[in-house]
Amino acid sequence: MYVGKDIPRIDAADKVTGKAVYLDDINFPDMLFAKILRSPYPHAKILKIDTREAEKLPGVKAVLTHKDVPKIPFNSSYRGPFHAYYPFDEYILEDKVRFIGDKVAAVAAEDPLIAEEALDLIKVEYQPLPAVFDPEEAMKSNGPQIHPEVSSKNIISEWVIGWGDVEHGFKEADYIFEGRYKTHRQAHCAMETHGSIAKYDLIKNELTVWSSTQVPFNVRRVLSIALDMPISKIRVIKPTIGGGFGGKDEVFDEPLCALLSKKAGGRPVKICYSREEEFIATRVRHPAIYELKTGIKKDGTITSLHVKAILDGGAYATASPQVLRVNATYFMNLYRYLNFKFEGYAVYTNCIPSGAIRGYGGPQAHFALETHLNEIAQELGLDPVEFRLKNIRRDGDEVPVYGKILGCRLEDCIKIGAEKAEWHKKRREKNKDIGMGMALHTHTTGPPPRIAPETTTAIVSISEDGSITLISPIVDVGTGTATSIMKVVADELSVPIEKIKYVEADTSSELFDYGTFADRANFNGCNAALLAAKEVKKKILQKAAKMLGSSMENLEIVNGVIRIKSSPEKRLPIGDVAKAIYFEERQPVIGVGEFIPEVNPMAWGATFVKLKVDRRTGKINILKIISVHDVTKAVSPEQVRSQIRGCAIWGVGFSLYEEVILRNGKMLNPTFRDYRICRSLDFPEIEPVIVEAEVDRPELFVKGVGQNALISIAPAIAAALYDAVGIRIRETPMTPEKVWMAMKDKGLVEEE
Amino acid sequence: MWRKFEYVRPETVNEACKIHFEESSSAFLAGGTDLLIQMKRVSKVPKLLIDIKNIKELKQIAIENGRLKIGSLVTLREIEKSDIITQKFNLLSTAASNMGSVQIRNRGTVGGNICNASPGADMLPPLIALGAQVKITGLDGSKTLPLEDFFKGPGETVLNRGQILTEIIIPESRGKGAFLKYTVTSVQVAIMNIAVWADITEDGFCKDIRIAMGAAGPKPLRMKTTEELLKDRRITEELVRKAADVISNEIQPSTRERARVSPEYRRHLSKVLLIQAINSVIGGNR
Repeated sequence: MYVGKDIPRIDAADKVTGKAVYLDDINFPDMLFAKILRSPYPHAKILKIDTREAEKLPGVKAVLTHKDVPKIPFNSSYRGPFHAYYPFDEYILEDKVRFIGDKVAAVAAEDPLIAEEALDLIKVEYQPLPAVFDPEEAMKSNGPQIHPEVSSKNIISEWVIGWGDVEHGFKEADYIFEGRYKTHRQAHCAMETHGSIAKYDLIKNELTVWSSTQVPFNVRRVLSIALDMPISKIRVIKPTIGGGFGGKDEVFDEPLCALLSKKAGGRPVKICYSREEEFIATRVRHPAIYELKTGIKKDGTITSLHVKAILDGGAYATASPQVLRVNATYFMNLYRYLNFKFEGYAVYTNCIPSGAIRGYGGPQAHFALETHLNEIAQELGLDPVEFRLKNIRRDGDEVPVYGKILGCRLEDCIKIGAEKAEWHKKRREKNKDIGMGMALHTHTTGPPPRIAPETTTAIVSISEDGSITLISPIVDVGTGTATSIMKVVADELSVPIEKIKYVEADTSSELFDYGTFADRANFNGCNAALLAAKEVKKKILQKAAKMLGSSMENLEIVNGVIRIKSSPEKRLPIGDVAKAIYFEERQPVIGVGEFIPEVNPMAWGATFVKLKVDRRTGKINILKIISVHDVTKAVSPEQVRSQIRGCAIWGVGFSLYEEVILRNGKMLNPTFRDYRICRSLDFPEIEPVIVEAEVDRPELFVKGVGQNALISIAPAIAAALYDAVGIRIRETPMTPEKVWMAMKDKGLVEEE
Repeated sequence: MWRKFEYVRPETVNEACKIHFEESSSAFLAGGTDLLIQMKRVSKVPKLLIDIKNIKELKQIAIENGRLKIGSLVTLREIEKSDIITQKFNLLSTAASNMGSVQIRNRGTVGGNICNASPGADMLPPLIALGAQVKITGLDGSKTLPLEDFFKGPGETVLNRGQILTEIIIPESRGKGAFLKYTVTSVQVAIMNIAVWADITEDGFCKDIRIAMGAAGPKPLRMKTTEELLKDRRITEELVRKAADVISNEIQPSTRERARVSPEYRRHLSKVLLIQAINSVIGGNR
């Protein structure tokens, strides 16, 4: 069995030897390089734009402004008709700019330096417009309107959901708690920046695009809308990706690249972002403001939770409506409340657009919810662990959007984590300035089928020599998904994994898939491949039964050889059977898997943090993180552990160090010198803990674990901080200065 | 944003100065760890880069007549690893070892760190505390001046076109030193740093002291008021606390928006750093 066993990843050798081909490694002899002129204003109308000088510069082959592009609105994150609530508020280029870094014009030239130089020669006359940077400010009716054509009061999307009557619940409560929590902007910081190459065939009117993307089929769809081209004329190919984290979950400059190629007579055009562009002009984590009001009984029962949420969507809607809806589910899914109401808004501001990013709103919602509940437990003198065990969701609970909860091992996660952290013992030992805190999380495995369609495909074929080809449209963003999918096929067919060749399908295969996001890749990919393997297995067993004079039920496959269970000497290698099917039955030996999940397994987990606070500087030193995850089955345990570790480090960065700092819409720290992500020397000790479940064919239920560990780190740190020095921080990041200020207010600061 | 530029690599100081003097849009390239980053981000970039890495005479570390001489092209890694420096001027090697990553220290030079004139550059407080002089060579000869007089403001020095910083000279002086750097993450530019060089007797009498701080003002600052309070006195806990209050008023914290911490927090940090640095020097005495 390969499932559950660690083997070298299929992409490992290429990556460590530098052979893997990333977007920027792809070059064509006649390729041009494009650069983008970006807005220095947070909000402005373009009155005049003069590109004549730029066009005259030797080496410049194409210049585009808003005058040269189709006037077709689109949404770069659009996944299909079910996204009817996604505003179409973007154009390839427009005569209006809405954030500092917004696209104004583009140049394709013989080399990138010429393109850069040409940007200097484009004369733009702007009429600056009043801008708004604060989402609460933006919601006031009399301020600047950023997208009046698709919104009023700058509201991108509104989502109200709940059950019962919260006001009634507050009346029944013995205690009422209220809190306001705020989270900040975080950047993805993938090692590979965004990039694409487009090649427009002017004779056939066909477009080929290579893109560093998580979602090739979505890129094709949005290209088709934005360029008004038939889908059949567009092919999107994804090379090896150097990290996505949600940042490559939508269309970026593919349409612009395509038009530049068209204008340059069909020469391929490449755009690769600089690190600064990556920071200022892609996407960030939604800053969020939450107001929570909780009613609670003396026995710890939660009678009501009322959540008011405002997500700062930035200058374009992109995925904000979905991030908002998913935000509500984090609150609904984690605990039982007698009455519940979520009222949320995603709001336009003249800031960098917010979008999908690892955790998809989870870190924000959980910081509010878990910090709030920890505060309540502390105020009421309840043990945070016991308080949670009383209120968490359990199997059989019915929740909106997701439906019935099944296979939930959250309780075990809490208990295992508490035991490993020696929670009950260590919390009584009071060491100066050392504290422990805990928090829970839940996350999705694929979008909930009730609000988003889910399907994926796979093909498994066996050739006449017995070698196996697995064709999957799943995008391996660097997490090792491809290797995991191969394992499922190898196990189903009982063949050595070396016999399987993995082909990552591009859109021309028409093997439809939504892309890699929401932790859906492993779950969907493994299951589609499993169905395909089952189908092809049936074909070869049928033929083998005829050849061996036995029945299918009496056959087994062992190490690539089919044999009769009762008389194993009667055997046939898979290749011989396949050959017989091809040449005697005159049929292909192929299995097609179409996976359409009815439910998506929700993933659960708990984080325990131990830290020390420096009373002189306010600096937090994390001593240990225990990160426990209900995954049902770890197909590749070491990959699961490395996802947990890497994701927990993201959580530390989000909680303590990383922040996209904007002043009047301008990012002050768009370099790794000033935007501080954790380096290897900053990694705390992390203990990843995998909690599995005893189920038949566990690959059917594999839960996502790529985004989860980060989600509950910030509230666990906030709780540990309170445990250590008695201060509450309700706003991320928890910088030394913020901690110092809070300690200073309580007279806790020391100088030596 | 990258733009096209020309590149030359002279072999002598004189040749380098001449080219720099003649081309008004030119810049000296040593390790490039600051310059190349600036060239990517700032739209006004030099037309000509004068790579001085081939000038061998600027790469020496030597003791002459008790004075330590460091060529401006000596790398940060060489300072970190030099036996002479680690034995006699450990605050210099400590400062160097805290800068960037090993890869950056292999490229970055001490001269580059000085000429870039960042107010928080790690090499500057220890050099100032050690009373370093710098030698400037131009077409009309050389001159020497105290390092603390070399800076005019953030990124600004007294260097004129056609002049190169060739050497750093550290005089012989009795004492012990300490360097401390405050950051939040590793491989980070200092939020604040401090260097103390002091001659303190066995029984705690401070015969001489020099204190310099980085990221405490528009340029690296010598903390003379604080020094005066401590000099010719017996160092007691009470005196150090008093000095901490004085230094927190002596610094000139930036109020510009890009500064990552508030002036108030910076003043507090200066106290914490001073107390820790003096304790470290005294501790080294015992």
